[in-house]
Amino acid sequence: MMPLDVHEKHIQQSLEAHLRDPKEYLRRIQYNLQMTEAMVGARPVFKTDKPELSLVYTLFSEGIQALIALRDMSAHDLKEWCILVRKTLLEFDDGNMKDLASVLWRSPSRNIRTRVYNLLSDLEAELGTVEDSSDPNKTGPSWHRRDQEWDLPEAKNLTRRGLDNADASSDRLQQMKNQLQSLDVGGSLPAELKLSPAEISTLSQELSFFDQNHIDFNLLNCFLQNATQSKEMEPATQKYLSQTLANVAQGIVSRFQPSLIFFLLHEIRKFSSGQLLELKAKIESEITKTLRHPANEKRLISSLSDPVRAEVTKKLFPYLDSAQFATVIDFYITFNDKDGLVEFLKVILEQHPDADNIIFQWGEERLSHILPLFRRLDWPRKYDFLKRAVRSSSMKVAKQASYYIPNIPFETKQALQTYQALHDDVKEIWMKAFLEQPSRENWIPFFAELFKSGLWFLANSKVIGNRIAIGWVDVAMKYVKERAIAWISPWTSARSFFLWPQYPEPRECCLMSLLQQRSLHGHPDVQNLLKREATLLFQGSELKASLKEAVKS
Amino acid sequence: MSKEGVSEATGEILSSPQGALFTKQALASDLLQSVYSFLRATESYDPSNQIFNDFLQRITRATFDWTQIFKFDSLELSLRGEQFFLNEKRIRPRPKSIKQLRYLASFLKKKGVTGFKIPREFRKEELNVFFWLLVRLQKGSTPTQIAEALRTHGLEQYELKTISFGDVLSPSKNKSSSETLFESLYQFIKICYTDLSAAEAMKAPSLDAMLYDLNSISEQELFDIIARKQLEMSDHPLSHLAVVSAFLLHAWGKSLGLPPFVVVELAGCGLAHGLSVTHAPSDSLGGMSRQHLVLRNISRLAKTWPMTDLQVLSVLEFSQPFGEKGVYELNGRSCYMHFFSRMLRIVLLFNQMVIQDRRRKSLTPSQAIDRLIGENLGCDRSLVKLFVGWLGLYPLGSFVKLTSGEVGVVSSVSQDLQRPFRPVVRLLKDREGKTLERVSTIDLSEINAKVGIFKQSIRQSMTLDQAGLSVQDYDNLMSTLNIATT
Repeated sequence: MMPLDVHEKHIQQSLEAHLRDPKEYLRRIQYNLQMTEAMVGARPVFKTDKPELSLVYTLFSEGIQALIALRDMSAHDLKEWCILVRKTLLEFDDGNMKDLASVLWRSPSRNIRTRVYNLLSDLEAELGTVEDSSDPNKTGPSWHRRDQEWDLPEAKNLTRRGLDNADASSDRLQQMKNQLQSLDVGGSLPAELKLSPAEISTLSQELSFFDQNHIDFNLLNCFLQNATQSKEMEPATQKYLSQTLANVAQGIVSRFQPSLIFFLLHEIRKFSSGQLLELKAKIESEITKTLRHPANEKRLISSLSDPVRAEVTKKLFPYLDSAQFATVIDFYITFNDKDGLVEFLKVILEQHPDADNIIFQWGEERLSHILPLFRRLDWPRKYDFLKRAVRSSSMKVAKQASYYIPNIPFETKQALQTYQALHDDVKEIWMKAFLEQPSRENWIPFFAELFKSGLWFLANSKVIGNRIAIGWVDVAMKYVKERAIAWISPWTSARSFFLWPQYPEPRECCLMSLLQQRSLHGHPDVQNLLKREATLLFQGSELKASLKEAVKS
Repeated sequence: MSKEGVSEATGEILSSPQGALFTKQALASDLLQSVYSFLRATESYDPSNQIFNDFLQRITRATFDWTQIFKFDSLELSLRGEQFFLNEKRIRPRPKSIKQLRYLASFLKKKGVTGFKIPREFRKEELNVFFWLLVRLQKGSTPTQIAEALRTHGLEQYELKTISFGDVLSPSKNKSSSETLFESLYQFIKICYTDLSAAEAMKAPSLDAMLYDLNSISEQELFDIIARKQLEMSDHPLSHLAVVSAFLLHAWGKSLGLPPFVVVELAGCGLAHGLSVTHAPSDSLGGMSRQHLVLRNISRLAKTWPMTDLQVLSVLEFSQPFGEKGVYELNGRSCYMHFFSRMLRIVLLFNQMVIQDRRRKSLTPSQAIDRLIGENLGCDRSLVKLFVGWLGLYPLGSFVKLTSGEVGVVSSVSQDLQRPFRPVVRLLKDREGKTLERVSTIDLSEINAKVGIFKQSIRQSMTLDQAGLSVQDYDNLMSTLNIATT
């Protein structure tokens, strides 16, 4: 098997690079087979002078018209398919009843579909109604373009074209008979009996493919309907029904048809009796296991690039394993799809009581990307989570969480402790958040304590410290207006040697902030302070001039 | 010649598995090609013509190579469906020999032959006699008659095989192969439909293998038996309907070019349809839904008669009317009927109307087709067109009066769905209304070259009574058919 392994690896690389090129979302490629060549659309991709030695001729001579490689085809699928073809041919050569066309008609491979010859394909080709399959991205609700891998095979997705439901009257029937039995050569078929090109095309397509998903969907509905009424059933029938239902479910899960899986999950919720509950648990566990499989995970994630498939994948989000969330988050971050990310987060928050812990496990980078989106999430424990995030050892996370600080219901003591431990940059974000966002009265005691304790100007960096200090005075003015004078007065009036200011820089920050609050300058307390400060001997000339100007005006 | 006559290089090739495979295929193709050339030439040349020497030489060489190189005691050719096997090895057609193989298959099927055997030690002269015997063989010859003919010509080591069913329940000696097959299926289905407990306990035949054998019956023979069985009354009409429907579905599926085993699966749906009505409690369904009933019957027969998912679905679905777009509601969802179910519904309705039944008046095939086209019977209109396009407005088994006054029975189906169908008619009565001693055949597509119009046409369809024939008369006449058509 070693040489095959090498081929498998090589093919896998090639498939990854071309069929699953991340830049475009190819769904399928159809190879139309002829005696000596294979075509994709109108383009020959294989040609041989010795057809007997080629796989293309072998398939063609067995009645295979086209092979359809689906996006998720892997080298392993290809190997399995080749082994199946070889085995079927050899067994058929040895007298087995099952011919290759019949075996492949049933589409035993998950990702390689087969279109098998039928009489109507000849008519279809004659009338030129064979649809152009050169564009693998085209999809639609008809049999021609229907993607058996993702669509839920309910009736609306299998719409038929070219239906003519008119019944022929008895007079018309006689006319038709006379017309057909006329002795004239060259008569034509009456319109009532003639198949239109659309009908030929539709029927030909239906006859060419075996759609396991279609069969499973119809059977599932039948079994589910009967299973829920199983009280009236004999135990043997009930057992058969459960067993068959389990087999169908197993088939769907192993083929990983996302829409059907979702449908199944949705339907088995109705199960309530003992035997059905067991079956439900079995199916659910199978589905979870399947979703966890790396190949299926990859398939789901990549489908998010395709708008139609993404809808189905999103429905399956609630059933993902929490260990898989980070991969989905990464996809959305890479494509900067904020709406998608919010939608996904909502699912997680709704489904998982321990969402906080799960999210914190995603790491600094992912958290810093998703935190700005929290304003769009309505989640009862949102602020507990943000509190935790604010206190995070990661500065990035703490910074992002701090934008929400005015909305977080912190206790004053707890808030002060937290604030004290913050990095300068984060402190600045707190201050800015209070300045920029609407006032929250519950924070006033915090501000009072902030000024009282002197934390308002404490910072490691002097430059940032001044910025923060001015900012906090602005915040105080914003929240309590002239009453803030009482908070800042101790810091402006404190002296160390008779006239010398005890807190020169915080003091100047207060004055600079106060000078900006022109609307408050008319208040007596503010005026008094301004006047007092304007007359101080040690006041810097520039600040003094501004203070005088403010007093005068 | 001997194995030693094989060159060293060829010996090396043969010793590798792939080489042996290629050589087998090449030799087998040569043999079939030479047999084809011989048989084709018999259509144009007199047996004394020297041309046959060359063909015989080639057959001799190919037979010798085949038996000597691969050490077979004899050369055994068999035809299964459309596939040829040489000593149990299928012959894969080469691109250039596809048409020749088709001719050969059609030739053998017309003769009712499914294969032959040539001994390892043979003489060229014997081959000549053997192949001319094959050419002159009359359809319907029994194995005893064939063995006798071979013995008369000193060909005891040779064999000509006709279809045989080793695994049927009760093969009758005096019936044709298709009749025997019909009877065996009927017996099995009857037990399944009438006595579930007995059916559960019985050793089941391989239905797939039996239905697969229909591939080996010529199209004409299949049509003949369908037409004949439609006229027969049965002691269990539902089983009779099931088997006739299986045969008709097989013929229809095959005519549509579906893969052979898919056709078998489709025909199996015809057999199974009765499970949706049998074993119902006497007070109608007793509150049990039709689906419950089907599931119960299928579950009880699961071991005796395992069905595929598609067959189960078809039996569950076919009773749903097609409506506007083949959609029905189930479990609060819209489901689209599978084409197997839609085909099954059409064939069952047609057969129900046509098959003779004591409990109701049956229609002629032509009247049944009229109803399919003219009334809303819940069938897929496109498939009805396809069905009528295949069978014709005067379908297979219709008794018809021709414009020239003769009475006959339609015995072919259309090969070209997009053109008006001019069937082959087997004449039963002459234009004076006198019953013919032997059936003769007339092809309504024949043109009168002088005036450029068709020679004959159908004037009207009629019942067997209107044709002035009893079922027995008809059977007697049809039994002369094999002689008349060979």
